[in-house]
Amino acid sequence: MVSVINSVDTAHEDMIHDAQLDYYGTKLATCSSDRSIKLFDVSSGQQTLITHLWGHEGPVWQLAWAHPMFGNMLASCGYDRKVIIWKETNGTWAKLYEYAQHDSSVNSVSFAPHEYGLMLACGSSDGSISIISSTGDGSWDPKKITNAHTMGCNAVSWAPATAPNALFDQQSGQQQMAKRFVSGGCDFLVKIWVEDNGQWIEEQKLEGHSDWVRDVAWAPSIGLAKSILASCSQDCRVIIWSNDGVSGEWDRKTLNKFDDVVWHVSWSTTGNILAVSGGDNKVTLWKESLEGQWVCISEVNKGQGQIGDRPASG
Amino acid sequence: MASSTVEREPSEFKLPVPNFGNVGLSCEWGLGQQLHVFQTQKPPVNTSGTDELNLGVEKQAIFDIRWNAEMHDIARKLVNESHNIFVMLQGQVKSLAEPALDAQLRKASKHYRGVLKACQMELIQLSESCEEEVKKLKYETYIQEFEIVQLIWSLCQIIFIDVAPGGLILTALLDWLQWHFPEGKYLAKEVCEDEQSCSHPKYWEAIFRLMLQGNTENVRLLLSLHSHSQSDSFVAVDELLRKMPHWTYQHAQSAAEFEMKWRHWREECIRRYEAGEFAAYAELEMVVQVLCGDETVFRELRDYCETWYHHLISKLLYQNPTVRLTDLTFHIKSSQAVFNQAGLNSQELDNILQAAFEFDIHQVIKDTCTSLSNPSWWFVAHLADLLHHCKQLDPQKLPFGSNLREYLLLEYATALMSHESLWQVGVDYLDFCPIFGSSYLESYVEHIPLDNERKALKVLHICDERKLTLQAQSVCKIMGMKCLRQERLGSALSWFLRSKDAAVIKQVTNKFLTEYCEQGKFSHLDLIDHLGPSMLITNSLTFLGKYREFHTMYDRGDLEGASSLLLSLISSRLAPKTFWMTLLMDALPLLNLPKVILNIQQTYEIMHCLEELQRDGTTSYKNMSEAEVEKAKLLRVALNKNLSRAIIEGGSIKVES
Repeated sequence: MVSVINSVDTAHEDMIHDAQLDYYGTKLATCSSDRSIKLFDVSSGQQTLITHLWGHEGPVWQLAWAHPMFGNMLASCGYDRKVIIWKETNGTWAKLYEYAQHDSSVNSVSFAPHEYGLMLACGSSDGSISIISSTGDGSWDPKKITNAHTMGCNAVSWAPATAPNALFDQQSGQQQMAKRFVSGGCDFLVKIWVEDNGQWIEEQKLEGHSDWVRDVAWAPSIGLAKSILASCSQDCRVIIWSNDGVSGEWDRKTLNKFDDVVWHVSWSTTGNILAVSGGDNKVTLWKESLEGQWVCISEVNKGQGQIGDRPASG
Repeated sequence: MASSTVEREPSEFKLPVPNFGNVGLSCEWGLGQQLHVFQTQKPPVNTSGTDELNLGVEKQAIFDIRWNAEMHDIARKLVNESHNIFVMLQGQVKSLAEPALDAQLRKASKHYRGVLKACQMELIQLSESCEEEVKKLKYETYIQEFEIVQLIWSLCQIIFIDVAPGGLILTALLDWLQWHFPEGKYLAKEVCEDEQSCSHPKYWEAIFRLMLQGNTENVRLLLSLHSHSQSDSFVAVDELLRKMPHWTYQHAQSAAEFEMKWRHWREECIRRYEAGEFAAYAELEMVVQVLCGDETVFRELRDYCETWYHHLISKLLYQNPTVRLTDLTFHIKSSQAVFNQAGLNSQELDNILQAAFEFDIHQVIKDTCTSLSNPSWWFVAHLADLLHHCKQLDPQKLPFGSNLREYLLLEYATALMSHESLWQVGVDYLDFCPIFGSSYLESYVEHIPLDNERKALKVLHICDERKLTLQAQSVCKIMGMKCLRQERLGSALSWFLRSKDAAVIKQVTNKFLTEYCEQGKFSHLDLIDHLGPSMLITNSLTFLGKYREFHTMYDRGDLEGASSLLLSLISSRLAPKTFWMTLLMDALPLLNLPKVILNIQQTYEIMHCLEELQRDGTTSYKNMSEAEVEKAKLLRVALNKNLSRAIIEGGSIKVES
């Protein structure tokens, strides 16, 4: 049974573009076309505004939280071509670092697994992807992959820093973790990038979509020597890509062809449920059934339900 | 496994927002079964600016959506108590062999049902004392669902878990009926309490209902209350009822013996019925028709059976009391046909029970997963576990990578992991999922909010017990960094020591040294004094520990030991440069002692160090305070003096470079 436990009125003055829960699900960050970012404390049923951050000069598209090991840290990116890293010190949030090396709107930010230290990737409409890292001493070191996606990069998502990657390296007998992430762009492609001797190189080019790729999401590893990622596109399709970790080949499986464009995919904590949202104005949840098929188990729609009401089924 | 699963429509949930076509929805996952959903622009523009206006959305709200959230609070007792049964059972599965284990499995099944019943009773009480209409309605729905779960569970127990010897199953099924269809018993009580029982409008209904459940004792009691109970017909019926053979496995009779007795008895019933012994009383004649197993009378009594499965069992009792478990399936159709037009029961429950009667446990579980809404998360996981240990479930791997039992347990544990206090119960369930359990735990345990030390220690303990080294390190590091930011150096160090992370430990020890330079004393002495082998994790920590040891020796008056330790600290260059001055100054009192402690070689060593510091740290030397420059001078003088004293004492000059 599904129920609305709470609703937070963010009081943003314009459309919300992204909402991100911190690592523990106790803080919620939102960003909007009103150029601002808001942080809410959502622990134990309350919702209090922690802070309201201004710094972008246009709509803020996406947010990402750093691992709590690095303190309370948040990255944002927006139409103003900027990536801003925000940090809390003694209860006060402030800008820690600003990166403005892109020539067009920055559409996506994503922090790497904490095992790699402070590191984030950002994808921009200028077609490039930046990987910014810090040794923790306050200095930041940006690296740029130019022309990663012709016409623009829409999304980036990191691979988990665990088993599946390590498996790839077994030929060399080393158990080191290869840093990997996936990106999707306006060239209809999904690309996998891997770091090799400090350089970022294109490891795989996954062809399957016939229009802009809107979002990509690498699934959390759940003990299988298998890498799984999801991509969605203007072509109304969601594709699940999987790699058994042995052959290095990526297998393609269309999850579903929707009635409208799909622009967001995200995995649950253990990667067993995929949430999909798009132009059909719904959020649908997909789960691998006992028979290994992806089936829609639930959908969240708009309508006249009331908070606290008992819905028809669940 | 039957593959007749009907494609089910996904459950739909409507957000309380108006449906504007040009506004989309997007979402963000919470931990476990939680989503944050919000309205957003469609399609998201990423190449143009704010050319699209606020599309009529009044409030920019975010909705926190959860599954089964309510159930956790309502059924907390169910969760906790069944958890105990579950954990104990897993232990027994490991330690016990077949016959003993079977007994434990049967016991566990009964315990689970007991907990269910207790939980339902509690809900009934809540519902009765509840004055809010909406809430009351909710409780009633839950009570109804608990009832259904018990109905399915107890049937499964009869068919799959507590299987009667020889497969003669009817006695158990009758118990099941009496337990879940108490209407006849209630009516009988009501009728008995009436002053004029036999004219009670439900007198005969009560009798028929009891008849249909094989409750002949009470039927006889009710009949004896009839005003004509002394008439021949009544006496004859009473005799037939008394003589009716009942099968029980305690009796030392074989099934064949029982069947012979029963046939004999039924022949008598038919003979006496056909002789018209009961024709004077229509209802009484119907009672005998039931005894004779007459097909038409069962159709007439359909409504008293309420459901096809009650009908099925009632009919079998009088037509085929030695029916075997495996033959049940052949009798289902005709009973269902009697009810088909009526459409009295929910199709879903029917399907589940039918699958059970057909001995298809996979179908039972599958249908239960998709059909029941609320308590199913609890129900299927525990039932599947039990059946798995009873060897009733196919242990083979499913395409998703594990077996049915684990699939369902993971589901249940996931639901628990998203709860703020029940997550610890979830951990125990994950422990018994051999394939994915530990990786699920790895994913979840890192997301448990470390609100305070106590909780952090709890999480850490869980990680340590399960050898989740990386996760344990992460917890320690997060807690350590938190302490460090709050300038609580001692706590920070003790967290970092647990994580054995050299880089961060160095950060803290350097802070300790800075603090010492500034204040001339150490805080957290007992921590430093008891470093033990962890001292070796990193050089900076080794230095800190040894340096403290030097002070202890010096204070104790062990000047020889202290000076040789200090010297080795100086020559090892373990200390950060910023600390050298302090270190060198510690040599000053040793140089000014009446007795020469530092020999020529040692004095040179200190001089080298001072030179090095002044040479490559010219800038920092310049930055030295007046007092420090003064100190350096003092040290130089003392060193020179000591060197000359050492040369004299040594009696010779040895030049070694």
